[in-house]
Amino acid sequence: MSGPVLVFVDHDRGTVDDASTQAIAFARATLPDADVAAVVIGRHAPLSLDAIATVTHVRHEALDDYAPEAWGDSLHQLAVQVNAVAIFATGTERGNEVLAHVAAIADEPFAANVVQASPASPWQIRRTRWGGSLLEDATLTAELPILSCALHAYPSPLGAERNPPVASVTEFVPALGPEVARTRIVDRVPVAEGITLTTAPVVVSGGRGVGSEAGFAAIEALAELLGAAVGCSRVVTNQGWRPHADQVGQTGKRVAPDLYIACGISGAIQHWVGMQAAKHVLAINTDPDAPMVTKADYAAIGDLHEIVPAIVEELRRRRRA
Amino acid sequence: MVNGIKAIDVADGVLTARRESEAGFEVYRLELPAVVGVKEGINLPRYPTLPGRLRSKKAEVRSLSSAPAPGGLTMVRFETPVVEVSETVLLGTGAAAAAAVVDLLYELGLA
Repeated sequence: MSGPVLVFVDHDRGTVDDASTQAIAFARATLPDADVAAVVIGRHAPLSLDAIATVTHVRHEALDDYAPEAWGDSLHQLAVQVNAVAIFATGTERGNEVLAHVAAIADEPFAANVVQASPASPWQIRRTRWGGSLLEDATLTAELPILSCALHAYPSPLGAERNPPVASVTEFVPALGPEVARTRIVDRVPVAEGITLTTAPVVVSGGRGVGSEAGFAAIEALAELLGAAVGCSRVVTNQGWRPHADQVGQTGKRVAPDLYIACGISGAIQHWVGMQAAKHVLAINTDPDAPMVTKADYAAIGDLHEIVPAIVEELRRRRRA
Repeated sequence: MVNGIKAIDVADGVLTARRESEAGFEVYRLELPAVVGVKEGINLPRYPTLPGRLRSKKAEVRSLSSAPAPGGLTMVRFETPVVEVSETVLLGTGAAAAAAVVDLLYELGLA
């Protein structure tokens, strides 16, 4: 008798990121006949999730705040106890980190950032590599398959129970020694109040074409008028024109606004993977053949130093009218 | 072990590491020895000096062979993803494009 698919659902002190539940859709699509159980860890864990009615709550004093090794160890102990057929998570920073610990403890392979999986013997897997710039076909042979799905690969809560019955919450208390809590969050430093890159409905981003730190003044003015966040490409942070926290892309933030305005950004794949989830893309660029322009929904061709101030002026004029 | 770290500080055998999160930074404390995966942007690597490069030519390179167990996760092939070609709507050229851009912002309900 085989057990359920365990889906690790990440949360930060009780707040669930939408991305974290994407693995539930991934589990249902991949193993449609299996029972799916969400696993939430820690004292502040959310016990009611929109997408699923079966929840296991893992509790232990060492698990109060996020502690990757302890969380991985607990998830592994639970998988052993319930005889799990597989462990899934969304390929967020934490999802991949916790599953890597589970895999190391279980001495099993781990397939990260999967876009498609079929459970045969061996499993046939397609996953993204190099931040989404390559696709890899692979086979997976494992006693306990451990997979994370690529961000936004399973965006719709496929087969989700929209209004699930009262969650059936099972408690699980793992046996943890003091040593597994050696890596944990001790503090949090908020950077900005209000609009953040990951939550803003509009992101106005600047690249090499902006040319200098001072060149961002017009971009900031436009962002302020739109209630938008300011982002930038890697070149910009490397030049020191903007802080690293503003960087969008493979090694920066992943954003999914309603509109992404890319000013003077050529659109290299490393940048594109950070903003490809945007609903609409507007490129402002001198080069009509730049990848950002050809991939965008809308484009304005020309010098951003002329176009962006003109947009600011036009917005102000219409608001006065 | 922690991953995705963008700032490290070591004092009195304790390592403090900062990782970017949605709202700012998470601060981790680890006892040494520890394993830390850093993210691009933590520093700017120094350009190797000439004496350094000469020394590196003489450095001994140790080779170890490993025999991973069969099975596990095995790569079959790589493929370049198909780039989605979208119909780009040209809103104009130069400052004259501003009006069309603002029209679009209103149309999307974002202005």
